[in-house]
Amino acid sequence: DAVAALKDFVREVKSGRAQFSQVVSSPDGQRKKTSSGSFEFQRPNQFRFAYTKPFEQVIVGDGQKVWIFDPDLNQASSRRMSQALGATPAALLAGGNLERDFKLKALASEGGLDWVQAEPKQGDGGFQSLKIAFKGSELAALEIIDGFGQRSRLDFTAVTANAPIPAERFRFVLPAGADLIEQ
Amino acid sequence: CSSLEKRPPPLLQVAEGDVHLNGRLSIQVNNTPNGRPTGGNVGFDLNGRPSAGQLELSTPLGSLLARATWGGGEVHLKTPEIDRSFEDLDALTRELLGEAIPVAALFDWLQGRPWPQMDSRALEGKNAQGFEQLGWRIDTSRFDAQAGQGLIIATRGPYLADPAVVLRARIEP
Repeated sequence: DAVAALKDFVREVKSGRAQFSQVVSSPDGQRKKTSSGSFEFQRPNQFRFAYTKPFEQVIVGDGQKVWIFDPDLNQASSRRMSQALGATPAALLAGGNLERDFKLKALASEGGLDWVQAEPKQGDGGFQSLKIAFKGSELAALEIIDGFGQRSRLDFTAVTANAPIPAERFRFVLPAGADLIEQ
Repeated sequence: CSSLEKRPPPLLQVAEGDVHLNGRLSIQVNNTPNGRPTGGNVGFDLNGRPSAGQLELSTPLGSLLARATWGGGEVHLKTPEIDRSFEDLDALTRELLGEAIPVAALFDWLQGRPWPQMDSRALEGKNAQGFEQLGWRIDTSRFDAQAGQGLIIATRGPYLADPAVVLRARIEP
């Protein structure tokens, strides 16, 4: 079932690459924002969300810190990973210790996908709900409902499991002239 | 103490002529006691008008970090950690962003123009484009008022070269 697929994914897929499209819906469902980009990860705790549309923005987890850089604003911010990661979507995808961070429950299949509910064990992580979906054994989608009821859904395509990913993809280098805030 | 007893947040009363602005903003507060700048970058949605409105801040992954609502004399902030009222928007933004931000003026500043309620002065200098108001310098040289999109940089002194606060907003159409 989907819980087995998630456990296999965490145990067997040590790195990966995919394209993603993201739709964020306001709690009342009235406002939606669509974006897309590429996702790469390397266990444990290294990941890169590179948004390309409608604007560029990158989130890099280097194993110690999470960096967010916005080229339009020429501003980067970083925070310690333990403070940032905990039981978060990034930990669900690229974390190294699934059962320490989450309580897992298989949900009914929906839209041809097998869903797992991941309940953070440590505090509530600020989420109402965190769900991940597989198509067979392949990562397919992630859905986050935050404490306000805002829903963010990422659908993954062109998934390559255990792809060799150069280490520098998980290193963030502050561009010349950009400002950095360390939180 | 600036926190009032726990009351439900004011509901956003939508009215004719309400503004809806969204995009991304970064704030950097340099004049901190330990000298280390604070702040960060977030997505924003600003709705309503100075007298009644809502400001939402979110992460790139789409999770809401904070929702500020005001109207009818009430000012309220909800985050995953806190859910309480404030005396005014200055107190709320100081808690949220580390610096008091003139939210009422933002409705006009983020459209590339001075807030009509207060005096302002056009920037001087060859390529300068923008204005000064409420002790802030607003650079609109990279903002397309026609298209309603672009970058607005607001800095608060004392020195232009080393501002105490820098607020950058990238407004999306």
